[in-house]
Amino acid sequence: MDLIWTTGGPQGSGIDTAAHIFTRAVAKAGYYVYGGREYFSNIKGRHSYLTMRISDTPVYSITEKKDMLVSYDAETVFSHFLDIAGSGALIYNTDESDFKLSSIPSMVSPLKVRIADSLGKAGSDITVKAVVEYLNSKGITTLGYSANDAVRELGRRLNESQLGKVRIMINTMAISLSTSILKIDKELVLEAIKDTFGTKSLAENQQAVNLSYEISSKWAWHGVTLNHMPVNGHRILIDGPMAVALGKLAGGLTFQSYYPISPATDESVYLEGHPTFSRNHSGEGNVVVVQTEDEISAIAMANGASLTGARSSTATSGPGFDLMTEGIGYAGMTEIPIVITDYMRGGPSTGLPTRNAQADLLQAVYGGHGEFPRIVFSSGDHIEAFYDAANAFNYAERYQMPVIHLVDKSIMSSYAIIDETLIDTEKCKINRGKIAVGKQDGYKRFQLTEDGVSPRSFLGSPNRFWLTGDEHDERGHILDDSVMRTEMYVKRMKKMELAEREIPESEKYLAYGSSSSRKIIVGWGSTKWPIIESINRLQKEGNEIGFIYFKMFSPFPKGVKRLLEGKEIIDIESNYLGQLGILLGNEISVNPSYHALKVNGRMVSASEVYTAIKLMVENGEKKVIMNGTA
Amino acid sequence: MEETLAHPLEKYLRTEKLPHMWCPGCGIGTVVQAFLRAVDELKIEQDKVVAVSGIGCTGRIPQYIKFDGAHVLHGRAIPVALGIKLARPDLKVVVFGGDGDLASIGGNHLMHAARRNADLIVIMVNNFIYGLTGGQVAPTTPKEATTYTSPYGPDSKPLDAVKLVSAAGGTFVARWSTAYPVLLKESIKRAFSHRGFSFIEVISQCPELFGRINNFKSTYEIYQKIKKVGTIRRGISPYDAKYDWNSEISLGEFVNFEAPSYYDQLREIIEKAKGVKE
Repeated sequence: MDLIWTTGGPQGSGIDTAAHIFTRAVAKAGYYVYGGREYFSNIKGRHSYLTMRISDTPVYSITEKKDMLVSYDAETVFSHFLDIAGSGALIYNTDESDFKLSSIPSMVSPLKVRIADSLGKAGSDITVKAVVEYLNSKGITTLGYSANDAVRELGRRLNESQLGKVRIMINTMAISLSTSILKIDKELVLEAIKDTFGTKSLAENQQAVNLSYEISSKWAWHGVTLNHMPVNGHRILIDGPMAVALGKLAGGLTFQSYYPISPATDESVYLEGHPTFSRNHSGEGNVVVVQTEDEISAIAMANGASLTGARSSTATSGPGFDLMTEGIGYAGMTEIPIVITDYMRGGPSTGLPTRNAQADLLQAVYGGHGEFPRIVFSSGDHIEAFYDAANAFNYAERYQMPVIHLVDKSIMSSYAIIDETLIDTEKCKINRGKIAVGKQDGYKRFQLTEDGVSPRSFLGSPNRFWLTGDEHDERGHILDDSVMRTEMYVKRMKKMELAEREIPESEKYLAYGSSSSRKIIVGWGSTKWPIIESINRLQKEGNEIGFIYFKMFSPFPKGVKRLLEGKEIIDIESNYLGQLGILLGNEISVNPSYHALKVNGRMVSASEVYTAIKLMVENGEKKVIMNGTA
Repeated sequence: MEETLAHPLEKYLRTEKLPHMWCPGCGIGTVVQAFLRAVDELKIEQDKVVAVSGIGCTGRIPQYIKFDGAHVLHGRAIPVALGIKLARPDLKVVVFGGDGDLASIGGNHLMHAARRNADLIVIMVNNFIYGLTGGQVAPTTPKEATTYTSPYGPDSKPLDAVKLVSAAGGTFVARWSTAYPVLLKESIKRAFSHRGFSFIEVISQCPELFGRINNFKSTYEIYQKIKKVGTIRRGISPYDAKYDWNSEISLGEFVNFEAPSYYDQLREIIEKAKGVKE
């Protein structure tokens, strides 16, 4: 069972909340949901949309063809009707039937041209009615309702003459039309509304849902329905920033400083919004969260807190990550454990502030002047993001270096219904690394040791020390002696060798699919599940293909070479250069022969990855540009 | 046997790091001494003080004084110090920096630390010039002065940090000069007991890079100029304080009032948040 459901509307009109209600209702009916949110860099008015994939087994990716498009404005219809599957349905507002494509100022003109071209009506104006006729001609079900009539009727039933107060429920009504034809029990929708809004306006929403179920009872829908299934155990609705924030809390975070930036802010908002989230039920939270004057200050402050022994971190996105480069280098030089979560968005410059990219990889691995050790790793779904966010502090403190945790915007702005047991704080172990306990005679903060790691002491503890970003001796004093320079340099870099030896292979990369196939796919982050799903589909079709999913990039898992040597490598990433492929070449001298790349800022879907693999494997295409907008 | 007398402040010095890197005649030593005397007279526990600095000649202070310390990136002393203070509110965190470090590259942090009334003591040694990089024009350089990068004079008028910090919300704002080490020491002592953001600017001499090019032929000459131009004004508003190389650079404590410090404000928020049900 697999259903793709999309809804859209003006940003800020409650579309997000409506999709939340839908997701919760579907989850209560026993299904798993994975949903992506796409939005403009805008607060109110521009078109935003959510694509939800519903399945009876856990899912972590979406596909492009939509089985159901739920709309109440013309822009949503125009923007997505071309993606409706042949067996799918459009729910639309008949009040806007005569709306013309040209009358929607917020739609960009290249999109308008593409739509007209697709209908074979290049140059002419198109109405919602024409779209409906086109869809009908393709055998797609179109289900119309009048939003104005519905609002009037609801106003009558609620005894409310100010229809503006009723109209705000149009989102709830629109999604209820779809839950109704999907045969989801009305009560579950109401429960979902209660989960979302509390008991406030529950009676009004109940009337709205009732009315939608009445309207849609007249519709003929022969497609998929969601028969209720038993829910084993407790399931939760989680999004990316929440997964990372919870992971950080489970990992013992005590200090987070940040500067607002899309799409990273949500994580700090979550932390600020849960001020009493404590490990000891004291009613006082564990974390100091500070919004700083800029990202330079955010990383500097986190470094300062870490020097006193606080587990500290910051969260940012591309432009802020640039500004943090100096502070990351400082942490590298002075061996400060610090975690930087980089929410990758489309760059360069301000780029695409609200869209996806995987283009910060090389910057994370190589960025900054001079050379310093660092851990760079990434997550491929919400569950990984949770454990990785917690474990990042262990890496940071064990190896006393900056840890850069890369997360893709497309995972982070997605929702998932998951089994609660998959987020298990008991599994998050805390390892604080080497610490100088108590007063030690002749304490040396940067003592030269076999493995490069010196016992750490904290500012304000009995072992008095100071440190400097200049080259220094074992006590931390500024020194540019040529011999000590080399020794200290080697000491710092040696910690990378230690990390390389100690960190288990399973935390660096995972192998999926066939290990004997001649062609093998490499990918990371948000392409993980689309690739896994594609190779499973290919396997069912009799095409065995392997996939190496990368998690760690610094230190680079050189052991992976034995799995890749002599293979034809297919590199699938959301960037232009094939940055993982470049790392493979640099680090283990294997180079991809094929690339499927995407730079349009939209989430990579399982279906477009499948198509791209087919083009490369069957047609021998060396480079495929993916352009999906799922 | 030869007897050596220990310096009365020796317990506060990393003697193994001496001789220090400052030029003969530099005013920074006077500031260090005033600071150490203040700590000594107040009997502040040595382990409870953390000295943080950025880049520049003044930035080297934490290297020579025996407290926990961090010598950080250019301009970033204040945010690092605030991170330390927030994680360990029991520590006394003191920032040392030059005018270039704190008022130019770190200007944004200075402004916002003052706005927050952050629980920090910031001592800014103003010698009117970038010293360690070789004598470039600073945001504090007087219009009448010459530097290697402004041979025809600075392109714009100088910044008066006292007014900036006062306007931004600093609750203890003072300016002294190396000509008044005892008054400076007393002011530092008051800063230690002040709750919130304390800012002390110290007008200081740089005989090598600012003095020479401006025709001060010796440390004595530039010291005399600093002594002469600095005029103590008691009880005036920071906005009436002068920063004029030709006539007067006003000295004194211009702001000193009680207001909730950043820590106090965070505690207030914690109390409010405690009432929130998860």
